[in-house]
Amino acid sequence: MTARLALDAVTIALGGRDIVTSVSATAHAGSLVAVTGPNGAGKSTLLRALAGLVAHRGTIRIADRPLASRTPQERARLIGYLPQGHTTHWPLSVREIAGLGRFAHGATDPRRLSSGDRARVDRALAETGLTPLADRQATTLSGGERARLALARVLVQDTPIVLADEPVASLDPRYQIEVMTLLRQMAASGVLVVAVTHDLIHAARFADRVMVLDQGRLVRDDIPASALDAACLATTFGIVAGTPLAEAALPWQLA
Amino acid sequence: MLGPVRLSPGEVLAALTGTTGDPVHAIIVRDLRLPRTLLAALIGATLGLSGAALQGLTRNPLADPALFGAPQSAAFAAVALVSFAGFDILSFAVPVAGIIGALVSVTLLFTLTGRDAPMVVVLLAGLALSSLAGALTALALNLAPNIYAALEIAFWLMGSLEDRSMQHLVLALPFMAAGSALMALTAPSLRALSLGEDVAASLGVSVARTRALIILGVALGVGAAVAVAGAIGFIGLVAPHLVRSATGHDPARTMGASAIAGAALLLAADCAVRLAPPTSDLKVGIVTALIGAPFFLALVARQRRLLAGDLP
Repeated sequence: MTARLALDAVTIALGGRDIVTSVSATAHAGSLVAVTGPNGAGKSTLLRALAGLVAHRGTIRIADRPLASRTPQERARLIGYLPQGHTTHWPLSVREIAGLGRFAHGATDPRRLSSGDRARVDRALAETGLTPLADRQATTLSGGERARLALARVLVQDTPIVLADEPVASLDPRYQIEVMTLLRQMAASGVLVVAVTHDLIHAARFADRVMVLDQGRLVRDDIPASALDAACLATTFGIVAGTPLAEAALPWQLA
Repeated sequence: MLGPVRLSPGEVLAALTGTTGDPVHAIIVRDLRLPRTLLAALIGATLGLSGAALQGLTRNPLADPALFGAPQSAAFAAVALVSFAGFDILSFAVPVAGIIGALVSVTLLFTLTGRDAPMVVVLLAGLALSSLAGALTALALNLAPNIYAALEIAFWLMGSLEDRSMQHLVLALPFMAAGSALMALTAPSLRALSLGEDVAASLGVSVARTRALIILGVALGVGAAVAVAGAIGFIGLVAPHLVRSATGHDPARTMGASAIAGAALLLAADCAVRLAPPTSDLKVGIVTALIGAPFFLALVARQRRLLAGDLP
């Protein structure tokens, strides 16, 4: 099975300093990979490099072709990117913002989508619980609603790879579980999902694999139970878990 | 077409179509009012489009070529060329100098402030650039070799559509058309940019190309406009806001509508100037500033939260 995403000695420098140092890893279609690590470990920078937004040394391959050799349009059809912080600069409607996901497929006007594209937008809004808010101005949404809208836009983009930076950071407990479940379902349908998260319990519960970054280096890359063992928690995060994380279920479930 | 000499719409039409019996009417309408009206509409449209493009690019509702120092820099370049290098005011070199002046100022602004700069930084840099260009123009006024040159400079400082001929139109039109075309090319990208530069890039937009096209487009349009009509400010700031609720805040649709609103605004301002007593010698640039500056203040008051960096 060829890797959908393969990193070979990837180093990323910002302002003359190496933020990510010589990371090599592979990730396959249909899996949910959590990237975690302390603040400043280089998680978001690595994700931005995977999205083609910052320059890197080494090689990032997507479906066996270097990322650097893809045109921006090709990248947009392969990789959906969900940044941290969900800024909308004009009071466009929720439906329009979600519809901008079709931009990657050449539909540049979200008010004039084909019926197929419109159906895709409706489905994504339903999946993220935004159908009742479809005609609201996105600037009037709460932080959690904006986070779900950003996810809806990525769903509409329909890419085989989704890169999400802290997708549940601003969500209440219920939507944290719903969004993680949705990412899980996307992986089950064949998408490769890479999610940066600080929430080790979510990483342990939902991810197939956990990559732990520490000071720009990849220190763990394994199934959650092995990656987030007591030694890693102690040396990388400086914490001790009450129960082993692999056994720690979320203290709550969806009602 | 309004002016101190009262002509009925029928008389204007007759003069335009060449069926009038009165040669004075024909001169007033065809040689004086027609070029002035066409220029007002074209310059207004160019400025309205430039404002909408800059606001879309920076996602900053306070963006405007004038607040970025573009017309002031273009005016300085034109002034320097005409007063000191002795070029004729109707030479094609004048709009070219204006374009270079505008290009330098807008490029400097974007280079100095960097990507995703907060509004307040962009506005301050724009203020500094326009003050610098203004000071240089004032210096040129100081050093002007004769009173005639000083008057020419004053015209550029204040902005005016008086005594413009079809030659002025021919001079500015190709540049304004090219600039507008470049800006129009970026319309779909501005829509994706509503979601920020990173998301726009992840949707396949080349942010650097969009920025370059708009900087070049604004420089071509504003530089040429300034070369024939002086520094006319605030049209680019006001026009997009007039149409935004009608276009549903879609940055792409706002561009075309803002061009139309800009044309209407400058035509209206110029009509006010034409109807003012001839002895007052009121300049259209002063009228647009008198309308635009309070509008800008009102916008600032409304956007205080945003200016303080407290983005929604």
